[in-house]
Amino acid sequence: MRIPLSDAHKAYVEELQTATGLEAVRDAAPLNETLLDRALDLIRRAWKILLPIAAAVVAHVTSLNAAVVPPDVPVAFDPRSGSLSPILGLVAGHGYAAGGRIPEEPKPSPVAGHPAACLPRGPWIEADGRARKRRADRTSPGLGVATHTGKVRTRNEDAGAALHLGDVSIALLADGVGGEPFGDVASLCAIEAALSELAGIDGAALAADDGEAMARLRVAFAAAEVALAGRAAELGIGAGKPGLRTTLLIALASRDRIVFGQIGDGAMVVLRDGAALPLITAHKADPDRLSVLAACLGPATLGEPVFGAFDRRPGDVLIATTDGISDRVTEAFYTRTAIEQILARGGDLEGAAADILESLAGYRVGGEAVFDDNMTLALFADTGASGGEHGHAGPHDEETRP
Amino acid sequence: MTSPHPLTFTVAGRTAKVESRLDGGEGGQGETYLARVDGEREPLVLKLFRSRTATDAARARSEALVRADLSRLCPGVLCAPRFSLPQRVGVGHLSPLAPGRALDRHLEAPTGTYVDHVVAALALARGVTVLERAGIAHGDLQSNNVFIETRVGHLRARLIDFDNFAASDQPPPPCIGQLLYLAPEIRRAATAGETCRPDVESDRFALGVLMHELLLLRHPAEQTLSDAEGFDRTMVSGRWFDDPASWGRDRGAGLPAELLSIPLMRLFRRAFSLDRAARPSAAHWVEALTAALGLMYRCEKCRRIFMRDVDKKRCPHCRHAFPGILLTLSTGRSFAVDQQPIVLGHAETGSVRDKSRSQARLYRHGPEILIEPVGTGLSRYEDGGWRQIVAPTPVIPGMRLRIADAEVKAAAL
Repeated sequence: MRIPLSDAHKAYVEELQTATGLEAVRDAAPLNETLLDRALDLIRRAWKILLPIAAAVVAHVTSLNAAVVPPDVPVAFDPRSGSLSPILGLVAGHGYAAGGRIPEEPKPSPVAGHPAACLPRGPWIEADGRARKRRADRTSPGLGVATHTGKVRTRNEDAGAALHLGDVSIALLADGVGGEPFGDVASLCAIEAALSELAGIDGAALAADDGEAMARLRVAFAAAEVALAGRAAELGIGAGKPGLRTTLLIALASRDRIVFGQIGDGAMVVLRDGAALPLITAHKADPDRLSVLAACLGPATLGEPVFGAFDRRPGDVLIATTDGISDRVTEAFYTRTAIEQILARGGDLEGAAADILESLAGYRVGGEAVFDDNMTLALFADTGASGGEHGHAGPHDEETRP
Repeated sequence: MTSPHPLTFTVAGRTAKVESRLDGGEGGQGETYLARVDGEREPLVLKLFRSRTATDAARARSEALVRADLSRLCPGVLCAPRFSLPQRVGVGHLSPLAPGRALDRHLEAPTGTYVDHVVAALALARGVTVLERAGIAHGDLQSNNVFIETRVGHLRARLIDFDNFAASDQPPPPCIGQLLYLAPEIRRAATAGETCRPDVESDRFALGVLMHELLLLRHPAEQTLSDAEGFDRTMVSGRWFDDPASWGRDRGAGLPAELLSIPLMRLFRRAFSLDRAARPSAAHWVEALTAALGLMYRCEKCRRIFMRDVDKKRCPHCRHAFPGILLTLSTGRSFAVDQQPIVLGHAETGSVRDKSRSQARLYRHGPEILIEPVGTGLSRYEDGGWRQIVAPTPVIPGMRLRIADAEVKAAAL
């Protein structure tokens, strides 16, 4: 039963509100404040307003002039070859370095060395800077994640990651809030922090216990929050100021369960017997303005993450996307397009995800790109493999049908 | 009174008269007396520094506190110095009296409801917000310096003893704070014999501890209080040991941390962080506590109070699972909604196939089961007519729903 506040409580809360209202706060001058202090304070405040604007302008100009691929593609661990490889994608944030806010190079990912993790960001790039043509024989153990800048934006503010822990596959998708500074930094920061928390877990324990999986997800979201708060402090972004905000979707799939966490928009859909079952509701503030979020991570988290679990049946396909896809597709995308691509790839989910994004990026109506945002996609399916071994069967092959 | 000082003196052009010595009024730095000042309705507390602490720096700090006028910026919460003493009387100040008992005494035998404690925590957070905005760290936030007064229908919290405050333009405070509330960086520096001083960030750590005591009625390292080494380790670990998401935690005494709202849990996770910048400000606590006041929920089984939110599927106190809902079609087919969300469409309800496959999603939101439309064609019977459901709506036993053209009745599971 909901408990309304009593009159005594209401009166006290109002009294407190009145006592410490804006007027009182405005009068709270520092000790021994002089006119010089006040003048310096005004200059500091003006500087705080002007600096991000200048940084954004410089970043915009820089990104217009820069090649899509920065010269220094960070080196990361390639989980498939087992060796260090320069092929894992872009790390954004270089543009803001020009504005003086991120002077350092992107830090090496704390999870890059994990044998089961990969952190794709942006188009897949060869060492010479050209987009890599994917090998046709690549297969994935039940999960594929891909991200794409799209053909309109110059920077990918999405980030995604895939992680395999025994029989459990985990996908993480983040979409840095656009139109504000450091969206790209935020999405990568959230993914890295969450992945660091998840990377050391025993997959068998996760698969065996829903509660443990859910608790781990909560810790992962909390880690992302703490990491963003710390990063915000480094960048001088206060809680009420725009910037460094991101969505975060994490899906954790074992053989018979899907456990998920969400903050922000995007979609998570289970395909079962030809029907698309939505697992989450996008945290949109206004149905008429899809770009405005009701919840996201940032220097101070807006709203709350939502967690849930769903039974997974043989033949189910789970699709998770950022809003670059989910805001622009109909149910047919999930039930037909995605399935067709997975089948065409013979169960290579990573290849299928990359192909889907490539085809969406090129989709135009009247010369205008329909998918004009960054896109990240995760595909989970039973590819016919067991124990995390790579398989080749599609999710709707006879062996995997219920 | 045995003090050699005169009983009457003048402050700010007004006559002050010392009435009596306060019970337990002998502290580390000085002695306290009850005093009356002309024109003031309430009695004030006179603090008189001892000769060894009555330095020029102490006088300057005391006068700066009076200039900051904190008790006027947050009346009823900050009992900060209003008047400094004339030189001939000594070094000290006059502050508003905080009635009630100290929080540590209150925690020995708490009175009031849980909501009272949340409101008291809100008052304390508001007070510290004012301090933070004035660029001042209290420097000694601890349960002896928070006074709880029982009023009709609520508890009032007040913050006292600002003598260890820290501000950038003032001489450093004489102490580093109280052992149970020391931030990790100060604890480490003190152990290593290095110079350290409290600041706004260390105040935020101590505020986290106080919030824990007010909201969960125990210190966050309660289980290790009897083991000095274990306690130190816990306090410098950077983690919230009562985090419901942690494994193998010892719940200990007090209230279960699961009763907190998600934003409050989030703040506790950050409050004890080693990363000073990650610790929540007092304004963050104000925001989360204000929101929590709208989430108070009483378990129908054990009658105890918790904060409802999406994650709660059992009463945090008695672990009683919140009941689900049974939806029954006119054909007799039924669907149970409890811990897992379900999606209903024409395959389940038998409605005509030209409607979309999915029409409604039902899911648990804490103690309640909500229904929301996926496509169109979801309505409820209300006030003699069918009204479309456009937003998540609680499903209660007895409710009649229409999913596309199929009518459904809700009952308790």
